[in-house]
Formats: sequence, C-alpha cells, structure tokens
Amino acid sequence: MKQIIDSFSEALAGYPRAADDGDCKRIGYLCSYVPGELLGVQGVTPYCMRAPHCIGTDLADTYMGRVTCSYTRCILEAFEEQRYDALDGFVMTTGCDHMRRLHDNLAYLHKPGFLRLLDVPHKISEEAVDWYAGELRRLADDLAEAFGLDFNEAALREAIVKWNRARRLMVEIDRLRLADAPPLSGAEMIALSAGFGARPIEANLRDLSGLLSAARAESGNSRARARLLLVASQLDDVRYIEAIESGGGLLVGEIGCSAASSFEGEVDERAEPFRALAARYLAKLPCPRMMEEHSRLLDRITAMRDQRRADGVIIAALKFCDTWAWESTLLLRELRQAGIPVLRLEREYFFSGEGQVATRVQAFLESIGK
Amino acid sequence: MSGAAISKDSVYLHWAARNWLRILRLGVNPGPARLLKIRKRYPWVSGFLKVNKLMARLMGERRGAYRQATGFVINRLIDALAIIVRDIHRRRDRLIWHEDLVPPEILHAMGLMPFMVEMLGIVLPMVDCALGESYLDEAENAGLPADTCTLPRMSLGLALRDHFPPPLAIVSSNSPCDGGMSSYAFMQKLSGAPTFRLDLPYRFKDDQAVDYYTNELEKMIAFLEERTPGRLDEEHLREICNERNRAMELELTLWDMLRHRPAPLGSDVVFLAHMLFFGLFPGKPQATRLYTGLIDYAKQSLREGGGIPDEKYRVLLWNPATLIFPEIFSWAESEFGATMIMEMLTFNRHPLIDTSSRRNMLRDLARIMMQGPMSQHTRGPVEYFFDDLFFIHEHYSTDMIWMAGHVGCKNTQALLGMMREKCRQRQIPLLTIDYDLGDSRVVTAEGIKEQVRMFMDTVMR
Repeated sequence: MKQIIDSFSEALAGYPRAADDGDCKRIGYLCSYVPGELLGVQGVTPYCMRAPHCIGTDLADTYMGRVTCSYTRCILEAFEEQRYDALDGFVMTTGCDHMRRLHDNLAYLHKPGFLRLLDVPHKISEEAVDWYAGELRRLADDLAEAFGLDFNEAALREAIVKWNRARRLMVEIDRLRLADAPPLSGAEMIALSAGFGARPIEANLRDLSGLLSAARAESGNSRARARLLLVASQLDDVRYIEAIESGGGLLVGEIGCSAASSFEGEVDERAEPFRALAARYLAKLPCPRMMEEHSRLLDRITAMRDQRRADGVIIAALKFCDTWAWESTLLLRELRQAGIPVLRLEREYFFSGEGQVATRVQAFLESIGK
Repeated sequence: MSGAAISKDSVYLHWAARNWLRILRLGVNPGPARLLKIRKRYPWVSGFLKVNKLMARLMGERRGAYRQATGFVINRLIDALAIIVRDIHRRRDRLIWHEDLVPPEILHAMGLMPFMVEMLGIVLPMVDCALGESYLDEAENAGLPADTCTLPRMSLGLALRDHFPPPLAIVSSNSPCDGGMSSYAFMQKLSGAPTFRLDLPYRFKDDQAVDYYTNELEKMIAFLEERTPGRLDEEHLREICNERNRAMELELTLWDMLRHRPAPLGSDVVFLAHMLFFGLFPGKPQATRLYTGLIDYAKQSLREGGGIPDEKYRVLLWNPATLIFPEIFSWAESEFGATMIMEMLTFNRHPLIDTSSRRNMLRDLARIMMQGPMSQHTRGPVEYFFDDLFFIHEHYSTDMIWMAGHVGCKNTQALLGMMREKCRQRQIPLLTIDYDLGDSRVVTAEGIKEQVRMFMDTVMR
C-alpha cells in the first residue's frame, strides 16, 4: 500500500515531464470543472496543474499583485520558470476572478500555442448545462484541429467509462475511512486524490484497484486523538495535511476540489457525451463559485461530519480567495449555530507556517476536549 | 473652502437651503413621527443630513456655472435619497433588494420598489466615512476577512445590524465580481428572502450570450411575479425605456461637451448624475430634467471659458472613484489645474433601447447590463477592460490615467502589471493610487493626496 501511495506522492511532487510517447499530447488544466475525460481521449493525456515546492512568487507578483490568490500566482511563477514546457496546451475556466486574470496574464506574457478558457455557468439549470456542453464541444473541436485528434463519440465514451471506474474506486477507498480505525490518513488520501490528476488514467485504475484491496486488509489507526473533517479549496501539498495531523488528530474526510469527495457523482454513460459531461461537472460537489449551492455544500459538510463521526471541522481556505472568504464566513456561522466545533485557517498555496498550523489545530483539539 | 468662505458663498447657500427644504419636506411626507421612527430604525438616514458638507467639499474652489452644476446635482442626489427614505416605509410591501447591476427598469415597470443594496456602500463613505466604517467593523467581527472588497463588506455590516429595510425578494447576479456575487448567499440567509440570481456569460458580446441573458431576465420576471405583487406592465416598461433613451441622448450630448478643452464640467458631477439616474432611477422624467439642466450649465460654463479656465491637464480616472475622498476632483483642479474628465463607471455607451417589443426591450436591457460598468471591466475578457480604457483616453484626449487601485479589488489588482506596461507602450503617464474604496483607515485622504503630489511632481513635471 505504501508503495502505491508513494507513487502518487511522487507524481504530486514533481512538474510534468515530456511524455515517453512523443506522439501523445499532454494538456495541462486548472480547475475541477474541467472534465479530465475530455482531455483523456486517444492521443491526449490530461495533467492537473499544480506548482509543487513553489517558494516565492516575485515574478508573478509583478503582474498579479500580492493580494491575489497564491495558487494562481504560483502557477504563473512556474510558467515564468518554464516548468510547464513539457505540456502542449492549457485549458482553464472562468472558475473565479483570479483564475480568469491568471489566464489573461498568461496570454499576455507567454501566449501558449494552445490556451482555452471554458466559460462555466455560475448556476445549474437546463440552459446552463446546454451552455457548458457547447463550451466543451468547442474545446473538443479546437483540440482536434490543433493536434489532429479524432474526438469521435466512441473514444469519448471510452474515456468516460474509464474515469467513472476510477471515480468508483476513489470513492470506495475514501469510504473505508468511515471505519473506527481508518486504514488511510488524511495525508495519504490527499496524495491519492490530488496526485490522480498528475498520472495517466490507466496507471490510476491499476493502482487504485490494488490499493483498495490492500487497504481493506489494513488494520488502520484506532488511536487517533480526534476525528476531523477538512474543508479546503485547492490543496495539494501533503505537508500541510501532515501538519494538521501532527498533533494526533486524524482527518477522516475532506471536501474540496483536490479531495476524494470531488470524485463523487458519475457521468451518465448512456447520454450524449458532451451534455453528460456538462451535467456531471456542473452538479458535482460545488465550489463556492457556484451562486446557488451554499445550502448543498453546508448539507454535505454536516452529513459527512455525522456519517464519519468527526469531532470537528477545519476550514482551510486560501487567503485572498473572495468566494471562499464569503463562503467560509457563512459556514463558520452556521456550523457554530448547529453546535459543530469548527476552526478556520487561512493559508497560502505554498507551504508555510507549519508550526502555526500545528499549534492552532492543537489548541482547537484542546478546546473541544480532545 | 473654509466655513467663513462658504457662508459668504451665495451659490453654496442657495443649494444648501434647497437641500434643507427637501429634507424638511420629509417632515410632511411621511410625517415627523414616521420620520423619527425611520431614523431610529435606519441610523444611516442621519448620514444624509451631512450632504451639504459633501457639497462644500465637491464645490471646492469651483466658480460660476460649474459651481452651480455641482450644487444642482447634489440637490438631485438629496431628492433621490429623500424618495428612498419616504418609500422604504410607504412601499415596504413592494420592496425588492437588488444588486447594483440588475436593471431596476424592470422592477419599476413591475410596480415594485427597487432598493439597491450597494447604494449605502457608495453613499456613506462619501458623506460620513466613520459611519460607513462602523459597518465594516461589524462585518469583520462576524468573521469576514478584512481583505475583501469594502463595498459588499459594508452591505454585510448593514445587514448584520438589521439596518436594511426588509425585502420581499432579492435579485442579484454574478456581476460585477466574485466578491459581490458571493455576498448574496449571506444576504439571503440574513434576510430570509427568496433570491433569484442572474448568470452573466463570460463573452457577453456574443449574440448567443445576449440571448442567454435575456432568458435569465425572463426567468427573473417570472420569479418575481410568483413571489411578489409585482406584474410586468409592458406599456409601462416601454415608457420607462423611452424616457431612459431621452436621458441617454442628453447624456451623450453632455459627454460630447466634455471633450472641449477646457472642459465645462468635471466628471464627479457627471458620475453622480449617472449613478442617480441610470443606477437608481432610470427612465424617470427627473433624469431627463437633470440632464437638460446639466447641459445648460455646461453651455454656460463654456461661455465663461470652461470649468477651469486655466486647465493644464486632463485626467482619466479608472476604476470606481475614490469614495472616501470624493473631493479628489475639485482638489486636483485647484492643486494642479487638472480636470478629471471621465471615469470608468460613467462612460456606459450602448445603443438606445429598441422599444418595439417586450423581447427587444429585455434584450437591450440585458445588453446594457452586460456591457455596462463594471461587468464590462471585471466580469468579461481582459480586452473589454483595456479597449474601453484606451478608447476613453483617446476620445477625451486625456494626458494621464489615474488608476484608483482599490486594494479590495483583486480582479483589477491582477491587471496592474499589464496595465503599467500597456500604458508605457503608449507613453501614457499612469498613476496607481493605493487605497481602499470605503475604508479611510487603510489610506487616508491625505495619503491619497501625497501619492498624487508625488506623481505630479516627478512624472508630470
């Protein structure tokens, strides 16, 4: 089991390298609203973009300022450092203001050969699904034209089936953490869920399947000081989770775009593929950028907390993220009103303040009598 | 201007007296007892009593018709605020909260009373910074991070203190930015009112996007008709749109007059008029009268040799104006001979509304909202932002751009590097003013002045 988790961690810790198969195109993407399946048809491999080991954003700050989301600044910094040269193209979304401005700065500073911005509606309706399906079709057409690919329906369906299988595996592994002695820690689970996007789908299917069998046989950790639920925006640095868990608390579930919960909900394999993709991605566990989904997110947090018997909730939003600033303030208020212990941490995307995080979590555990 | 000078100033006294008369009329309707209740329930109403001080600050050293125009537009502002104060009780059974970019024309045409949630976040810092800041503190005490934009943050403070009149329903949108959009989940929770949100597509100049958004407006109308007594009266909407078109034509005339060098008026007068009669009361005959009056003052000002006869510089102010220091306009005039000729929120140019059918009216209202400030600048592609900026710069032959770098607006903060380089390529002097839109404790008015002086002394010398 350790070997498999290490392979995910390794993928997570590095930048993309040129594909072994020179003909295979690698497309980097940002945002959990981009369907990986669409970038995973024959001849293309998706790569979920991160900026591992980013230690400063001096170059990016020149253009994006210092009061913007550090995730987007780290990505721009990595572009400046030519970390993504092995990628053939980039797909982003109108996910938030910061991501849109990252796209704008990227187009201005680097002009990648292939750069597309998907317009993701801010609410869910039949018209919104149609709109997003149209965006995905245009993206497929652009990819086909730029890279000479064949986006036929059979190839897309094959990709959808594979990704659905992977989702089921990830969700099953995650559900093992409902046990009194979860076989995986939060750090290990984040390595899997965040590392997934940095690896080919075939390798993910093989390893997740192996890991599920191994994890079922694991005895697990029954001595945790407290069981915790983590709610976080983009979080792919395992060290941050290790800092949270360093005081004896154990994460038994995470909600956020890098978490296993983002794998919930499958794409309808019988429906028209583009519309099915649009419907699944718009309706997935929401990011606060969706205008009408606050109640759903709150309900999911409280249900997950009950189901997993979490003693408290930690919200770890990125500093300067407007949508999370508002969402987390409202969540804080409502969770407290519901009598659920909750701790809010502000963090930067790049790993920093390890001691502070550990101390604050320690204090939180003490405050809830753990 | 000192108090002594003000007291001798007949123009100031004339308009101050008229403002007080308008305020005193509230003692008749809704009546003194009701007015006291309103004032107790909504303490921000007291802030409006300081409007004459605001007028004195805006008038600064202005003279002649330009000074008259400043008094005139403030008087209209007081009139508009008085109508709102009167109606928050009288029309409370029809009161709808709306986000500042949702077209109030439709709400008026439905017989509803639009209450723009962001209005107080705009007006309070101008008339009474300390009062506005107390609401910011309220929101921060509730846990909202201090780096969020002060405009929605102030609204949250007001809502937390229950200082907004209760709504029947709320209509908001995903414009102009993530902060504004996200604030409405909180507003909905606090008010308990049903909420409809309009979703503006990204590339909103495409016909397909206009259709999508027009459908959103239709859904908003259906939502309101189901949950409020409001019903869309197509003929009333047509009257409103026709009246709006008339005011728009007059505004275009006024904008053209501003191209004269020296300009007849500064853009604070134009900005306030635009905010009032395109943001709050579009399609009202008062708007047409206001613009007719302003054009008369502008003509007179030109006959007098312009608003600032010795105009040395023309400035384009970008981003929302510095609300905590609204007299930056008159201060720049007297300090540097610089007329701030236009700013981002006003120059909202679009075709007149086609009133031939309900669908056409809604389509054009959708276009106005989609392509107007700030959607145009902060929700859509970056080209829309820069195209508008440089078009206005050339159209008004400005000598420099002052970017009001509101620290809470991450959307535009992330464009400052690009903006600096684009201005440098065009050899346009650019000043970025570091400050906060609604919190004078971040950077004071004196701090803003210092930044401007430094720029004028070094770059523009």
